[in-house]
Amino acid sequence: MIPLDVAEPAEIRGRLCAYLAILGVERVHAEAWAQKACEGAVSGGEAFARLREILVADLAARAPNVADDPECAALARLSIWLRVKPATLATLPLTPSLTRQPMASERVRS
Amino acid sequence: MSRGARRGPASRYGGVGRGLLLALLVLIPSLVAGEFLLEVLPHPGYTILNDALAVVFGVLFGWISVGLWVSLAGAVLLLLRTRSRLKVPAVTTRDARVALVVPVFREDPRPVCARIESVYRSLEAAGRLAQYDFFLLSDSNDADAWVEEEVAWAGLRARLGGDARLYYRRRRLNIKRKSGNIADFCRRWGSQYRYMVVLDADSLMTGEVLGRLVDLMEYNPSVGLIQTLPAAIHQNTLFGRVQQFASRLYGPVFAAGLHFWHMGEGHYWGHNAIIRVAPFVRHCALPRLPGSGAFGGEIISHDFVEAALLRRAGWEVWLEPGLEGSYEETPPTLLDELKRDRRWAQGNIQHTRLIFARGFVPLHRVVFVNGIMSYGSSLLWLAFLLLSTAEVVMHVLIPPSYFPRTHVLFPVWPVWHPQWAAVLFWFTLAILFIPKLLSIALAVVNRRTRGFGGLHRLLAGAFAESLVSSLLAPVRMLFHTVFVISVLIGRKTAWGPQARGDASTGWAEAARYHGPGTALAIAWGGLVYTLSPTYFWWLLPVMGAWVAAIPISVWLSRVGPGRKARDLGLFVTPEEIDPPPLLRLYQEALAAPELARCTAARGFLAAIVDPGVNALHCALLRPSERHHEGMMLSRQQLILTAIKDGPAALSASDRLRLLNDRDSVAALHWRVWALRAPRARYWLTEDMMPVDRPTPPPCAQIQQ
Repeated sequence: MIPLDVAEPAEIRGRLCAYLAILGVERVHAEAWAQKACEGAVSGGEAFARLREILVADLAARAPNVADDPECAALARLSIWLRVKPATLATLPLTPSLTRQPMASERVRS
Repeated sequence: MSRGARRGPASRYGGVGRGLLLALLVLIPSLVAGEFLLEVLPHPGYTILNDALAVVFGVLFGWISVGLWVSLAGAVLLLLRTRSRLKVPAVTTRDARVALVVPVFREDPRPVCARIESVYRSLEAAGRLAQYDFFLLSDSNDADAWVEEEVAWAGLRARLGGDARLYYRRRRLNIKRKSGNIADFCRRWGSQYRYMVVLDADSLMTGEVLGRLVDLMEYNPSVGLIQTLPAAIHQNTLFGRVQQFASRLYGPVFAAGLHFWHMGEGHYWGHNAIIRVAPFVRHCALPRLPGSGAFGGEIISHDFVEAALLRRAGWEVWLEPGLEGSYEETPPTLLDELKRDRRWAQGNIQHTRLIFARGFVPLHRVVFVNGIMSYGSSLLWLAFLLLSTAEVVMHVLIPPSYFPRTHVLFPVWPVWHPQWAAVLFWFTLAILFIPKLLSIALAVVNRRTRGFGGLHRLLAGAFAESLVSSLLAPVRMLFHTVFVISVLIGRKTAWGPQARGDASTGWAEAARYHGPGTALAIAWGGLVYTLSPTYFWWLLPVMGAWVAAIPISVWLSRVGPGRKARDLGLFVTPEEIDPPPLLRLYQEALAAPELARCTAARGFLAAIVDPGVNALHCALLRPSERHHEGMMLSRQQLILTAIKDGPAALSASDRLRLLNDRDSVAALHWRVWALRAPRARYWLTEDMMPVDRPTPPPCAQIQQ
């Protein structure tokens, strides 16, 4: 069966670098993170999984109170893309807390 | 329906007395007009036909005379400068929390967010921002629209700063459309707010007006809803500019008249209004009408019903015409207007079920009838034309009966009274045009002509607008008739996004929509001309408009003639002569640079490949819940299909299913970025995978 993921180390590294560059990671960080992520990785999927962990760890180092889901690394990526303060970042996706109340439908006699 | 608190503090503003007076003012002239028409008709023999003609004409005459009495009352109010019966607060309180909600359905999010930004900044300038929270409530059922809304919202948040209380929420299921969208907001967050202001995607309101509305609500505790009169803005097509000019010139008079006649039993138009949330939640849950077909199911035109429900529960509903600073955009072309009317026609005719529902005040029943007649009158007008044609045909083809009744000594001659017919014609025209003349006179008396380019341009614009509306009235009548008939035979209309901006109508599209009317006019007019050339000239204004509908529709939809008219100072409005700060804020917001994205991808593709947009979308989704095994397998199958065959292999519903699940979106994002070149090219562009091109250096060499 042909593997779907990139498997050549150079390709993996190039893809990681391109990803980080597109996201807006500074060149120094990008190269270091890409190297760390692709060390020993046998496939692109594995390398990107490591990159997610690196991104989340970076966010946790900068903002310990801002949790992020390692599978998505969403806030970690947003913090790089949008360059906003972690406190603001944490509230970005939020809506006011729910205070549910019923508004049930009624029947009309016509 | 539950009865609620009926006849509360609002009863002093009940409009029963005024309603009865208006009914008399309309009914008596209608009867006289119908009777007069009987005298005008030449043929005494066909009594059933004559009676039908008289009845239809009487109803139509009554219908148009409503406009006369409304405008007369409005003109008097505006002349006396007593625009409102609502109490004016002396001291403002600013502790009430207000939600400004903007329901959207597959709109272009960029102008929507620009409008929200301008309202935000206007509130900030007015010192009322602290009271307001903003909600962009999406019902979009299209993957591309959804993602673009999120990006536009994030960009707006970035521009307004981290403290901006601007929230985005999308419903997965758009049950009950706009009314369901608002109801969903009320259920989730409504209890945190005393008031909500509903804006449409094309609405704008100044911070001063928004603050004023809150003050009026605070000072008038028996008021449940205040509707403002939105002025039409931002029109560039000739059609749009004519409509904009007409609504700006004539609208205030009609709105003041409605304010006079309806008092606290007024209208709600679904947007540019403030609503007291608690009674709205308690009393305005919309029922599903029993039965199927066009009369059953969800209530489509919800706003009238919500106003009636509020009033039934004892809360006043006011149309407040005196608040300047409320704006909306109107359809840019005739066909866009007609597509909107198709939905409105269905919604209004559905209200037939509610006219006799328990508990509504009489004036709101009249509002329902009025809405139905807005489209039903077209059917009557066409019926009148058909009946009058039948009268002529019979007059020509069948010899008159000189002794229609037995036992008469003298024959009854068919006598045609053209001068009487002319009197009736001119009288009808007067009723149609007096409201316009009153509006013009008021603009002169109240020194508002400068806003319309000066007196001469105002007069020229009003004359040209009258010509255009006279040409379009028969076209609208024909379409509305078709809409009414299609509703009556049970055909439902789909819910589509509104056309906004500078759309234009192509010749093929115009021919497709107007062609049948043109053919009908040629056949009908030809027949009448053959039989009775004299009567043909009476029909010419209608038949001529149908024949010319295609070029007129195309020409009016063009931006070029609209701009030319504007350069000539024709159809200009006060907002164009002296743009209010809010409109300048809107233009600035619209011109502001978009949020810089990581890639050029847009819509669904961006949600999968763009690292930033994917992160934003994942962050906005709730964590995936534990799904049924079958559902999880189905999603994995979707991801595999996407990887194997690319985005083109995914249907619209597949894309939505993927975007609805956070884990799936994240998984597909990471898998796509890790794909080998042949399959990665389904998703990624060349600049996203630079080292996939020839001879990349081995990783080991780089490390060394």
